[in-house]
Amino acid sequence: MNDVQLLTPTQRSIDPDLLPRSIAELRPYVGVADKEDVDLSSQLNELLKQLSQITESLILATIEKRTASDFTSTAIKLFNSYVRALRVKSDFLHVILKNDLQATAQIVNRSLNALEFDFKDYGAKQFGPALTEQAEFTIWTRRKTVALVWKLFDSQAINHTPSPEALKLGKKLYAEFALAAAWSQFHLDCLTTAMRLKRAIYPDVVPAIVEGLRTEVNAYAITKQMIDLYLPPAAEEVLVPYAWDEEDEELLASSMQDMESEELEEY
Amino acid sequence: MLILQGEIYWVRAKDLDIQGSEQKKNRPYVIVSRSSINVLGRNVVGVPLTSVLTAGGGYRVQIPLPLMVPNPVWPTTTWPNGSVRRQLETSIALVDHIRVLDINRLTIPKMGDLSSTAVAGLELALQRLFESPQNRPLPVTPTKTVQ
Repeated sequence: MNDVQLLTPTQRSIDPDLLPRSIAELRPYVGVADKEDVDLSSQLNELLKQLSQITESLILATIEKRTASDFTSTAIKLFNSYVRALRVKSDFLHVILKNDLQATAQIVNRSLNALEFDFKDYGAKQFGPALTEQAEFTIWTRRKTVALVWKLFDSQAINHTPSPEALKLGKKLYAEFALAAAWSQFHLDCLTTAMRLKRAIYPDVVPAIVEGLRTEVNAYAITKQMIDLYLPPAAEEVLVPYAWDEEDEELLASSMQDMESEELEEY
Repeated sequence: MLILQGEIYWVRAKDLDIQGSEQKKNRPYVIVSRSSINVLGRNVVGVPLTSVLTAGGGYRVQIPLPLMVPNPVWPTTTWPNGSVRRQLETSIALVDHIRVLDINRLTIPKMGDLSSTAVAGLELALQRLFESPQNRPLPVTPTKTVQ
């Protein structure tokens, strides 16, 4: 089930120095999974590999827990280190790619494609259909979120000088976004790591992972709020009322008749 | 009557069923059509809610009660026929049962509103429902503008 749920660790669980202070600093939170294939020199590749190993060890320490409460408390305990690793990795790629947003976008897209294929190919077999569906919905939602964040990176937004009130609200939204996006990414990484290393996810832990994945919807909702804050809305078009005719009447009546005969679960 | 996107109304399955006699068929709907379009005609577009949480799956999203804002003036009394007047609770949005509604079937006042997070979730579910096919290329016709 693709649930909308508001469940994130409190903001206190991310060190203040890790919270984004500008739109540009949102980049680590629209993540690059471990599956990206940047063409790097072997030395750099080695560095990136080591960074991935650090993330992997944090994830492994979490997914080995057998109960939902153990899992969540470990996740919260390790979350700062995880976010720090996300930021380092993002900064690293930022330098390597010479701040080329298009190249970064391509890597993120490729990474999301690879994740989608992995879940399609192996997800249901390893995690069952419900958890796989939630993961696929999360990746699908992440794609939408990334598209919106990319809109924010648009020069108009970055060069925009917001009012002091908007700036204050913006900072609050950056922090909320970072929490929601990183929390959902953490849980997605739990599944991808389990899939890659053929580790089991204990049944008691599954609901906690589903809860974590759900926060991707929050990330999307917060990104929409940031868009509203920074990008001037397009003027709403003036819609001309249409003449209501017999056909409209018939269609509406038929929809209502359908409703009378529809067999849905009682509310 | 101004019906806004994201508002939740109790919708009567039968016209003039103000007694709530068709209780089983009556249910809350979230209005998903744009507010600016809702003022133009006699119809709005809504997604039905169910409190049967096992009805989830596929495109259906769960909307927890904390992501709804109940209307304080929605009565807590029973319907005139004595049946219980339902209040908002954690629900599944049956996105795949989206339908056109006659605004005369909407019970006033509204039951409440969805929060921005819940609206975003519903928007995602609808996008997923209506997304163009991924695996089947659509036939291409000579360029014509769709009006």
